[in-house]
Amino acid sequence: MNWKDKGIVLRLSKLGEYDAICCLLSEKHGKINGCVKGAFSKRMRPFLEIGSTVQAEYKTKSEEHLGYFKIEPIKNNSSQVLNHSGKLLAFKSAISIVDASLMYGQNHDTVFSVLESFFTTLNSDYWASSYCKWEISILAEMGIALDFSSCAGGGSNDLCYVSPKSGRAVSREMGQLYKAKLLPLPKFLVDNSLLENKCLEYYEAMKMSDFFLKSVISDYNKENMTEPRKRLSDWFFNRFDKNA
Amino acid sequence: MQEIDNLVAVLSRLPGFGPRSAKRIVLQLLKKQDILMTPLIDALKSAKNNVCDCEVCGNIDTKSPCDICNNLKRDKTTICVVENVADLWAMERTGTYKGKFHILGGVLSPIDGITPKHLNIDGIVSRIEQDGISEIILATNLTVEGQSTAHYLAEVLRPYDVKITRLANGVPVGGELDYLDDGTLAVALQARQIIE
Repeated sequence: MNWKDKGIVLRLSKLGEYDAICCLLSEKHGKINGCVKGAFSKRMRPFLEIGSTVQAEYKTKSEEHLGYFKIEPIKNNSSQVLNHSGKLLAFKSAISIVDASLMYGQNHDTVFSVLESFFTTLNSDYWASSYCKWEISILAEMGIALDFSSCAGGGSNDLCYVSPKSGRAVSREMGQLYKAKLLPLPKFLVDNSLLENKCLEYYEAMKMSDFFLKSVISDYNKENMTEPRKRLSDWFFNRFDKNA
Repeated sequence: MQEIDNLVAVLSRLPGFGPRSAKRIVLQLLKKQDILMTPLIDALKSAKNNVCDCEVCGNIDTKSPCDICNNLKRDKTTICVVENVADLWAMERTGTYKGKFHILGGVLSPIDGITPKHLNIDGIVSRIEQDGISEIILATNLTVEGQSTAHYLAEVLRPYDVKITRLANGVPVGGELDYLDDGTLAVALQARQIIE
């Protein structure tokens, strides 16, 4: 089981002084763990970071044993977000969601490409709305395809709720009676627009996707997955009506 | 031999040593007992009995508060927040920083189970409230975890009337652009300065 593939570093756990166990999301071979010799050495430390895109060569004697990665840098995606607290939280949150939601050894090339393209949007002013849409696309990849095209109850196009049961949009008039049970649906998710500095809408979008993420990720309540996402949600809430 | 094996086992647990280098050290210690082993035992005993953590900043010294905290010539209105003692020593090596320090004791890392309650953050807040601090320099590492911790600290300290700064980042002294990694260059470009 030896291969060469492009990958994104999801997690690095120190092994001894310089080595690490690296959890990599590879393009064609899915999520996989492997040992990286010298991961914390002076040569590799600048590029081997959470979220980095790398070229990995994986070697193992058998599928039951932990293999070894030989890693070459492609792109350090974290460097563009280190100076911005919100972008950094979105970056960490996306990685923790992918890490928590995927099983080892299964091919997830769509998740890989969606995550890689999300990293490129972090440079733009629309990073926050891109993040919220990225969560929706990850949910779709995990089997929960939310449908905001029309009202589930046949109502008008004034869509402002999501049904937690069906994942479909509900119009204002149809949802009036049940609004306590329905989830908020921010406008930018319906008209697929890109918004700047609308922190309340981002907060509501995260609140909505939170419900569905909880239902599909078995270890959602583990602190390592929820902490960056919760802090991002708080970040939006604290900046509500302020410039990001 | 049990005694030698024990010594090798203990030494090989130290950073930078493996079983083979530990064996070489043990052999040297046994060969030169008077000039190596006895002074080493004395030095270890002395360090064990006298070195303690500074209750103010978290530095290690033979007394608490440590020499840096007690030094009246240092600027007591500026605190440089670092991850660990090794980082404090690195800052001291520069010889340019004349303020005081605060050691966090790590960085936020949910994967390793390190949350804000595991770090010495309350200590910074109480120092700001009691000591009239005017500037906090966040000198955490330029890694995802280090910068996440810095941003978290900046959020926590924002309500206080204190200037929050952090270290500049970019091209190292003597660095050639052709040899720099993409990440460092990208950060350097973002933090570019006007030439005056």
